Amino acid sequence: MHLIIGGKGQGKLRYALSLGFTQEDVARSLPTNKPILYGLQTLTREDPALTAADIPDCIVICDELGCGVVPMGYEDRAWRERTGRLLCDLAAKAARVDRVFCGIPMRLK
Amino acid sequence: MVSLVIGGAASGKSAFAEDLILAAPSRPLIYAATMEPWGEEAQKRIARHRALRAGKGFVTFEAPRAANLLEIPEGGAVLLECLTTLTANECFSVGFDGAEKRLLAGVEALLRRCGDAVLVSGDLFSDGYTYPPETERYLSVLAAVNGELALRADRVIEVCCSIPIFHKGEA
Repeated sequence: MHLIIGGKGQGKLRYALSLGFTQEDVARSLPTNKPILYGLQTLTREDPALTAADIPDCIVICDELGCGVVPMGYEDRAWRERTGRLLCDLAAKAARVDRVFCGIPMRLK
Repeated sequence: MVSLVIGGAASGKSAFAEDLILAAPSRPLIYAATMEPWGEEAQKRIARHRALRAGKGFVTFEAPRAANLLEIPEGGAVLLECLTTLTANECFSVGFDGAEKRLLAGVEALLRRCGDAVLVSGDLFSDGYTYPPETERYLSVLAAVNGELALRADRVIEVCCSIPIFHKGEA
């Protein structure tokens, strides 16, 4: 697995596509056998029970959600928490982790 | 050795900070806990952190206010968790005026007394929202405290998806 994370609009998908893929290769929902799964944070929003075992071995792209003030709403807090924990699990499994900041990928693993 | 560990929510920063303090040479191991157990979510969070620490030999010291840091026993390896909570307690329960000074004085006193310290704080600064004035003021106090402690610390480590990024110092 190759995990690509970063803030919103930082160029994560553009970076993934630059590795030799097209929009045809991008899935936005599960299940999928495409090489790129984009927008994991929308999937954790919809399915609170999602675990690392549900995520296929591919390029996985997710927004980082945790770098803000604790949200007022319980559901927002729970979403942020479970997405962060899932990213820790996926990063542990992944062969490569990149964080994209202003379009620049930084290899974390 | 003083280490500042910063990360977003659920970034794995607590587990990483614990490993750091366990590897430090000083003893006893002291966990300076800042959260006040109000409400079910706080209790769950405290229970989760207690389970993480169980059996590792920590003595827990309650430090919900900066002044409590002056009472921590000398010479140990202290894990202070977390400055976001301590800053919130200090700003909203004691008062904004002088909060930054009280926090920095408390932490400085702690750093002079202890053998090693790992200070945990949060990155709350990248969600793009503008908050009501009190929250903004809290954020600016926390940012100033993080910045001052980053100058003071030997190591500054950001944790992202459980992976450490060394901004200052080395592993």
